[in-house]
Amino acid sequence: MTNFFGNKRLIAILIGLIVLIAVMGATLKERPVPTWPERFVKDSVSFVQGLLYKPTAMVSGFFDDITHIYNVYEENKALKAQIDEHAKLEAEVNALRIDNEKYRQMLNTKDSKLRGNETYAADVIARTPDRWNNMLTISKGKNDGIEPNMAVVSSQGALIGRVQSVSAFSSQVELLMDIEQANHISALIQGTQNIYGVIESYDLEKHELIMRKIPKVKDVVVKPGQYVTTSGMGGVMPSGLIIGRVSSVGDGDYGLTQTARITPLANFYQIEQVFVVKRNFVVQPPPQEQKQKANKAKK
Amino acid sequence: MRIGAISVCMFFLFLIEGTIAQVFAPEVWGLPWIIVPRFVLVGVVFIGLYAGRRKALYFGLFFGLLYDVVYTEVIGVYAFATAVLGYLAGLSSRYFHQSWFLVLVNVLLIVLINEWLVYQVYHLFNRASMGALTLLLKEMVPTTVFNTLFAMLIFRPMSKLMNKSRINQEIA
Repeated sequence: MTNFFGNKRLIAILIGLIVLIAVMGATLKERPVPTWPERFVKDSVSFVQGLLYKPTAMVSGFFDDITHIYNVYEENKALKAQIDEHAKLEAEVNALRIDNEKYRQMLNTKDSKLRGNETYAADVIARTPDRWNNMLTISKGKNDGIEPNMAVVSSQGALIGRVQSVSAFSSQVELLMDIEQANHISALIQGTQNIYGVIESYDLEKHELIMRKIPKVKDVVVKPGQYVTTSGMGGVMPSGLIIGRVSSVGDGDYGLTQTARITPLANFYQIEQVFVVKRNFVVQPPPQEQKQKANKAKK
Repeated sequence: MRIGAISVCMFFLFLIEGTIAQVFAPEVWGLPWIIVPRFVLVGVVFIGLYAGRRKALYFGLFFGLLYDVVYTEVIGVYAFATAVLGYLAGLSSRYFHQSWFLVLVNVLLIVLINEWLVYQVYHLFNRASMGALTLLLKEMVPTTVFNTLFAMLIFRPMSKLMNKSRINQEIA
């Protein structure tokens, strides 16, 4: 036991630690397009993963269906009641749409540029096993037109995250729960008027998103139950993607703003298919070198 | 040494972690625990105990690096943790004999250390934050119990595979 940590081993472990910290420091920053060996490994592993995930998800879906059969009667009754409502709602939506078109023509404004109008469907291939990195691998990549920072929605249409990095045939999606500096989302609460704020963090214990920087003005009233969508003001995310509903509201850290807690609509753990939404009008932050050049030019 | 067979087996464990195990994650049923499958680490512990600490170090480094590249964005955390813990498992085989009970105790301790180490490194780089008690009760204990049960499940086939390779080695 005396030489359990002998001299040689201790030095090896220390060198290992130094290498670890150096490599981590080098790879810590945002990397939308990884280096080619990484892309190669990701693509080849994702091919094999795709063969495993899909069948398993189908089997588990089959068992889900069996449990659903038990609630069919109740569900049917509720849905029938909803269908009557639906017809009324559809008529209303149509009328509003026509009105909207008419007013737009009168005002001579075009469709909002901030909306996303192109979507790509993709299968989920794998998910990071640990919960410190919440990433999905999806089956479409650069060759299919996926680009970094595109918004990703679940098959029900609720926002689940954004594309973090792309390889040739697969890409990595960072889920909403993994919010860090680069992943803040500009959002709005649909009240009597649009209330803007920024979604900044995720509460892992209560499974709620936390939206900060909501103005604290007399007219701005946030109520639980209101819907939250993306605002499209963050640069790349299209506007109008639904995120969740407000569950509670409180004062911000310094009492100058309000903070809302949001229950996300998407289930982050049962995802088989996703849609990647592309926005046509993209504002990219200028690359670092250009910024430096601009600064030098100013001096 | 049948490195080929063991590598294929380890790669299969690696794939299961991110695909099949995620479809049946406890969160899908709304359970409050975080159970992280650490099948590769369990495999590396087996290699350390049966095939020696050097091999465990190499296997741990390779599969840890693969894990970093495929599943995470920051490279190095799992490569370091899996390699060092595999070596540690290999070292401990010198001090007691291979019985199923000691193998399980080894897996239990190594997974526990792994969870703590990985969390601390991510916490250091501001990627994870959780209260110490919540971490222990919600993540570390369920994960350790689950992986020990998994080790129990694969104990027979794994030790057969490893022992066979050992006999081959002796003949060769």
